[in-house]
Amino acid sequence: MNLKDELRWAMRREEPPEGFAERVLARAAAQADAPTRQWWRFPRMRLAAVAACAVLVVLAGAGYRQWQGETARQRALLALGIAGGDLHTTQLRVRHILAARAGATGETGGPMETR
Amino acid sequence: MAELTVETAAQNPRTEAPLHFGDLVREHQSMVYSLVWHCLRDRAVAEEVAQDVFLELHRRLGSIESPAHAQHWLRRTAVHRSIDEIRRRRFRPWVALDRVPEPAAPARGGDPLLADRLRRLVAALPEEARMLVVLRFQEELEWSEICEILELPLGTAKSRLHRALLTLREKLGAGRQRSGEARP
Repeated sequence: MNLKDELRWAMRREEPPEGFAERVLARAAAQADAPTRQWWRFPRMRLAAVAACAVLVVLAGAGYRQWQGETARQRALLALGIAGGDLHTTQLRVRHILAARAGATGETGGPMETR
Repeated sequence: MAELTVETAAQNPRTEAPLHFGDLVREHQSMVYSLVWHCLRDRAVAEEVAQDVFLELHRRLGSIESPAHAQHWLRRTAVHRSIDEIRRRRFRPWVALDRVPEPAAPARGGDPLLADRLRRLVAALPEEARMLVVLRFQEELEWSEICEILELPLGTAKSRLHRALLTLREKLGAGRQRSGEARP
């Protein structure tokens, strides 16, 4: 026989040990009868779930604090903008008044008209 | 919950006749067991892995379309479970390829000693080459099926099997030569 024939002979199928099919069927029946095992019934899965929740809480807390800081910053900027706008308006009014007075008295310039 | 007995049957909507799990086990047990056994060379582990393959089939029986599909599924799953088992356990055969003892007697066809030696040599091959030899010489599959199961291109599969056969031939030839030299 050549190598390929020898291999076919050597690698021929073998019967499994006695009672193999019965053992498989018994395990299959047990598997089918066993109540469905939900993931939370496994201690490791419970532990993993708790750890995941803890990480989520920490991350959510950090995110919330960051969001709060960002909101405060935006509000401060807005307030500064409003205050700046008001100041500018007031300054324009003062200039306008001063200019009107100067026109009435024949004076030109003034402390606010330096530019 | 549907009543499940030892003779669990599943009716796939695409099939005409129900598949009986017990029948599938009895019909394909030698194929699945032999695939795993030739790959792992440990009867206890082979039985455990083969049982797991059938239990997986039991869970998926509803998606199996035909007896031919079941056979294909079992063969493919057995091969991949065997490879997983080798990788998971860093499973090595009892001895390395170069330490396999030489046969005491010259080889003859159908010789149980030669067959045992060949099985050991095959089990000492790298995992993919091992599965190629098993699928080609145990199952006598076509190349297309082998490539599909092992997810290998045709050229790669052929060259790996060729290399594996060269190794086996070399090893076997060396053994025969030594046996011849030992004789007066």
